[in-house]
Amino acid sequence: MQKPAETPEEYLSIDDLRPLPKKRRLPRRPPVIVFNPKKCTGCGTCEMVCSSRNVSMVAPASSSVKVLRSDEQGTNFAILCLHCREPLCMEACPTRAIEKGDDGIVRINDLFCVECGICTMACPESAPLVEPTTGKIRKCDLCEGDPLCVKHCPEGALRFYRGKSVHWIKYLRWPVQFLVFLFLVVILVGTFCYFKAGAVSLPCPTGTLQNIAATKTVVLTSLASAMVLIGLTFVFGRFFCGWACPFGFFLDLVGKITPKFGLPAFLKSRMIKYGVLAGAVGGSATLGFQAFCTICPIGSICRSYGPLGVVRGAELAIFPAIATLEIGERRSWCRYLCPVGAVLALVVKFGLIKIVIGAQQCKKFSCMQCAEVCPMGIIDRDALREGISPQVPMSECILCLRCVDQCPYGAAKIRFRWQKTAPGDTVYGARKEIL
Amino acid sequence: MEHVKRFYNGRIALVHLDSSSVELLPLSEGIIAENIGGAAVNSALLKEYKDYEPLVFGTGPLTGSFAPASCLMVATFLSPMGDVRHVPFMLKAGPQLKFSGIDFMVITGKAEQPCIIELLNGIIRVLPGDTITGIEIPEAERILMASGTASPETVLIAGPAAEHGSPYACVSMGLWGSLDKVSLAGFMASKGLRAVTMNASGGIAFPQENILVSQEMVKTIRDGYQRKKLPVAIYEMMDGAEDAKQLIKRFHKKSHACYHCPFPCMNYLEYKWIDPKQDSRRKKKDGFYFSDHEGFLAMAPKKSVDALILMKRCIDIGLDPCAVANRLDQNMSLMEALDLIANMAASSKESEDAMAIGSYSKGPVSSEIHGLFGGGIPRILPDAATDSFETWGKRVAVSMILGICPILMLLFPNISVADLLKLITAQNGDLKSLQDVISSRIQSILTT
Repeated sequence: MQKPAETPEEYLSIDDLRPLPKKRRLPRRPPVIVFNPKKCTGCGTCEMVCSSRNVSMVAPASSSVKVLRSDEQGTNFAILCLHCREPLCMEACPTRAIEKGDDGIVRINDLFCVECGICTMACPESAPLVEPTTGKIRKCDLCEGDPLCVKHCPEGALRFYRGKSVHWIKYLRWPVQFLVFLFLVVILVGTFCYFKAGAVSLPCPTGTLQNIAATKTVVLTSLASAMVLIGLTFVFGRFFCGWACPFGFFLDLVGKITPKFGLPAFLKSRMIKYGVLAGAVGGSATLGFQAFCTICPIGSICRSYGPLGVVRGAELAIFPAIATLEIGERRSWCRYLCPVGAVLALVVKFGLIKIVIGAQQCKKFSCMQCAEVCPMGIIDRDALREGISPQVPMSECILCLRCVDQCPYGAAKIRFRWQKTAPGDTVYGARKEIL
Repeated sequence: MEHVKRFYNGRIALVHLDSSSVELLPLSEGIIAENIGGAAVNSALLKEYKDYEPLVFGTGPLTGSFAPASCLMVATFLSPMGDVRHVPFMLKAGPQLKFSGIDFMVITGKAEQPCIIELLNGIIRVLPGDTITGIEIPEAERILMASGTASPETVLIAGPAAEHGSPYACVSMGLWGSLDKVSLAGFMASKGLRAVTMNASGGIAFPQENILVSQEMVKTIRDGYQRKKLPVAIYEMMDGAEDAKQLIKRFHKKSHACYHCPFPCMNYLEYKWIDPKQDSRRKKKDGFYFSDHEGFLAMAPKKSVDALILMKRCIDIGLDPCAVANRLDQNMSLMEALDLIANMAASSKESEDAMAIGSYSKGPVSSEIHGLFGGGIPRILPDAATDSFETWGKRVAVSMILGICPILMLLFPNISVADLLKLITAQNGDLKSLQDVISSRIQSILTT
């Protein structure tokens, strides 16, 4: 007879029997059902057909989808599994009965399920549903890729969506950044601060402000030239920061290789850059020359190559100092310190375009890809965890479009300011009330 | 009638309110064979238990099935005037009853204290109703939803107007009102019954091929109307509905459909108003769903947003909006109108007006036939009906027997009864005999 285990270490745990699978890459086209609350009329056909597949009867209580209705608010909400990237139910299940397949579908293995209901408690949506009479846990498995509820919904409130497989924007952005870097640093050799070719000139707006403060004169042609970038920013947002700034490109490269340890709290205020701008202009007025331009990293990097731009003095310290900030957070300089960014941020407050994250497609806590890839850290993770589609503050957005590129569900989009976006927080606010 | 019987659980619940006890009886094949279901079986049960002041809730063979709008539950009772009335309940009432394991529920006797009938996970109980006595329907619904081990999916509430014995009282399905204009609420209140709550956990087997048939029928229905006109589509078919259409266009927020219905005819209207009874100038946002189209039609000619406020008030206290609209004067202020509603709710005087049908629209359907089916079903003539069920009365009656929403049957007369019966049986011989039984039952219902 086998001697019983005497010490706790000798007992087998669930991790020995059924270890959690290693984290793997998201499937190239993660499947999901997208629910449109505006179209849902609460008819419950989805519950009917789902139950007919589950138990070969019409029994809405045995369905894997549940429609909640708020008679006071006049809203309907369908609760179903979002097949999260990192399912909380999978980690919470004490018997590891929940598995995520290579197709991205999260399934419950009935052989191991003991119907404890912990998955329902762990899921932010409470998507695993407990059948009242039998206690069996029902969870959407997308009908193995051909969901019945989507086919039978009379209003088209449910849509089966296979996520994007090609992230093409980065294949455009990196070459553009490189070419602009090459052009401004190598070819134009440090003339970024005041690019002039014949009658065409494009001065840096921050430099122009410093020049006006230092010289106490306004050269209209210079001002008009500075307005070119301002005008482009008004229309296209801070595209300069995300696609053209050579220093931004430098930071992106550094950021790829440096680890991230976080910044002290006193440095993490986005108002600091406005202070830097004010200091640059004030300093220029006091000193009588463009004070900040002497240490501006954008200008420095542009002057760093070729006979005109030998980096010296204070400029030498700029690059390593700012590169060090990259081990705090990505694009720390752009987030908190850059005065050029400050000027552009002020313009974008009245700009024409915006990035929206649509409530319908956004999978919020179950995905959070946009928040992970955003170099400016402006996508509110707490809102996503709460199940609310975040608002993107365009004055801080550098329009790199990483969120749009990375979103597997097409939730992140560019829109004009006046365009209506998908139903937002009010619907999910109602969902929270109903739940 | 084996093919009909398989669409039932095969059980009748007999609820004795005087002893707070419940009996479960088998559903006899004979009663199904002779009556099919719905209002016809209800009438037979009413006759069987006539000595016990019965109130019968019943379903049809297609209730809960893949037939479009298979939502219907019928309440049948003997009105104080001595005639039988059938009141339809939509949303999810019918499937909730059937999936509770009960096909018909006969409620007999009178409870000494106010009570609630609860159907929860297949178990029927008679519970004390004092928790919802004397309070308005929204608060009563909140209490009912919060009580017990599971929130009910469907609640029928006889509101404070019924408690006071108002002859204008009507039952409310949750916060939606209902098509009760024959004082079913008063009848329930006279038995001491305050509410019926249902939360079904069961189901019924239906032929899988019905899913495909259902898809075809749903497509036919959806092709039959314009999506853009949906919120007011039903009012386009009703006489004198211009004011109602204008109100809906202005305040519409959302449309809602009943169980498996591809035509969402119910609207959620949202508005802002200042309560004259509160000392505040700040407008508050309010809104409501409603299922009573006739009532809304009656109330709509009153002043603009006041009509919505008054309609909601009627629903909140369980009062028939048609009866209120009959009494409202165009020059009344909102405060005066609200006071009138309060007085009507508190009234216990029975008058000739009270027992007449409270319908406002004087459409082409006779008051007698209209009142037979609760007085709330929109008077939409099925002009394009292609079968022998071509009149308003016949189409409503057949829907009340089969367990399909009568409004859908009236709006889409191109859906033939034969198409619906094919969901029960595909055999031609059985179809013919079903139609014959239904025709004879309709005759007896209409001439009752």
